[in-house]
Amino acid sequence: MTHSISVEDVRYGYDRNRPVLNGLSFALPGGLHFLLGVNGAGKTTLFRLLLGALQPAAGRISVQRSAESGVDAVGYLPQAFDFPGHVTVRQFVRYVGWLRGMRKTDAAATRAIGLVGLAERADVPLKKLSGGMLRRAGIAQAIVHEPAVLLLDEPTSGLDPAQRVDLRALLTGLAESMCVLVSTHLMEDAQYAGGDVLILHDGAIRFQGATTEVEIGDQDSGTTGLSPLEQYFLRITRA
Amino acid sequence: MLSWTVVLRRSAGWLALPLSLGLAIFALTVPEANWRFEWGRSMSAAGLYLFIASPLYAGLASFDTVFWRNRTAQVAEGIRDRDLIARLPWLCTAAIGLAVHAVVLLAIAVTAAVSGAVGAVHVEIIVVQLLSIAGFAALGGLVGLYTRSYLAAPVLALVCVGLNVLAPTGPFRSLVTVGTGTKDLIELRPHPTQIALQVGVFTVLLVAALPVRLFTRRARTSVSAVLLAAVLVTGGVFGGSAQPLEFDQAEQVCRQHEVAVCGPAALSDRFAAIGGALADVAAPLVAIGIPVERRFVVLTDGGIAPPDVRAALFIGTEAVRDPERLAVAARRGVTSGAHCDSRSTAMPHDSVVLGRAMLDGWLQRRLGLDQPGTYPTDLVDALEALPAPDVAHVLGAVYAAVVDCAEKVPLPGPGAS
Repeated sequence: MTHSISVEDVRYGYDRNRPVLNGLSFALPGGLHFLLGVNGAGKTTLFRLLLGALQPAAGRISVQRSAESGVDAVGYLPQAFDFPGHVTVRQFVRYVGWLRGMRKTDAAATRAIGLVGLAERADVPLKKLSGGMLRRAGIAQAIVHEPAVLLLDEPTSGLDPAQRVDLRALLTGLAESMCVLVSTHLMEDAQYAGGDVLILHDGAIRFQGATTEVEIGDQDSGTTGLSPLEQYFLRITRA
Repeated sequence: MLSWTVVLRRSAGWLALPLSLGLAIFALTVPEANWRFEWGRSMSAAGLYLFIASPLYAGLASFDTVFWRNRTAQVAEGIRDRDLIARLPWLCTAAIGLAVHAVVLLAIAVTAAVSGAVGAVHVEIIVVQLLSIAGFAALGGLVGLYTRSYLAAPVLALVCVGLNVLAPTGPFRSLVTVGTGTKDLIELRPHPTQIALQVGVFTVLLVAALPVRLFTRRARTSVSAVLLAAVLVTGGVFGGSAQPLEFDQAEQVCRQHEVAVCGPAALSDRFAAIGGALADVAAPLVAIGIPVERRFVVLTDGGIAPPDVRAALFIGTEAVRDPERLAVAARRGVTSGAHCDSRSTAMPHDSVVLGRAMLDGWLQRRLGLDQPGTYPTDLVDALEALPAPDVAHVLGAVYAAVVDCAEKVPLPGPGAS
């Protein structure tokens, strides 16, 4: 199987004595994947390594190239972005396309904006968009160059339930043509959107598989009412 | 390109638009701004407002660069050519500055053309002005590349203004003294070394700040830093040594009209009028048999006549085209010889001053331009009380003494020495 992302025995730490990632290895094919982990588990560090913004102290990272040569391989939606509000959705997406090295951005921007369902608001300034729409605009800029890999950092954070449902549907659709890795602490996103789950803890992947593969065995006290995934996550991270 | 328009629309450089135009208008409308009669001075005058505007562009470019770096930092995470973010805003600021300057140059060119400006357009002055605008904006872009603080903008602008204020004495004076000098009449022009230094330094700044891939895909920021350091060192070492201006003998020509008129070739189309004015003024003296000089050298106001010149016309380009002012200058030229006293620091003898004034007063009365109070009336009255042959004798002696640069002049009546 061809993997979109391949991480082999990667080590990285901001402090030599306290590695954030310690022998991290995993491989992802195309499709939708959720990266779960407690705060400080290293999710953002892993994203920055995949983006090439950081270089691993050891190990190897391989990311599938983009369809368009000469542009960045990975699309990225940060958890929050503070782009100038006077810029319209179309200008925003085209600007990032230009920044990524694309020669012609108009058609690509129109396509990306259409994919995220903002075609009718393409010429609306960012400052006039709701939180959910702004997140969609962010995804449009992340896919304008048709990346093979899309990284989304907490994309549903701060959205109301309806917006989260819509966004999960969008991610499911995007995952049909690329590898989408979503960092989140909201396990229901992974539960309802389907796809694989990776649980990052203590610098390594402690679980990788479908949510249906989670085996919780006997229920722990104090976890009544939690989903199997949530119970499994707590069991790993509290171990 | 859309990315340009996105940045251009939000550019802080627009803030400089009213200020730059206001400064330019102010600089060009100050009293006695006679730049419009010479192309060289006109082009120099166009750069006067850059004294403030260029540092302003540097600060605004720095602000914009920091703004776009900060506001795109999150979405640009992992993008390989993030330097592009920092290298676009200053280009927009420079574009605005250059557009403003183009308007200023155009307005000045039209004014100069309408005023019948003489001389040549000194392209090197315009080039340096344009380069300085782009160069200062590039400097702002470079500073914005190394900081994320908005404080960099006012600090940089103040530092650049400080450089300009210190320009006459500071180590960077030759770099920031932009567009001065006139060649056509004053015979001053920017020193070639200074021009070369300015062009070199501003070009290096542009290369350092341009979004080019001339050097290497990696460490372009380091390359920029090295080039910036080179500019500072070059400016510090050589900037203070080159003289901003140098004398340059303008091409001289002579034309024979009613009298022979010699002077800058740029004014030669006015020599006939000058010659006519001089002949008109000299006519009363010639009529009583005084051998008035037949060759006059045209010199700029405030100039000094060479030792071999006996008769000079000191005049500014603004007066050349004004018949009344030309007549006044011609009368002064006839009655003052070559302004010999201007060749030394010693004060002229009272009799010399009085002799010239007496000549002037006598001519005023003969020419119907009598302006009492502008000459010693008692002396002229005493002169006119003399018999006609004596008047001619006295005036001839006074005139000869004036053109011969005599230390004293023989005067009639109560003021005689």
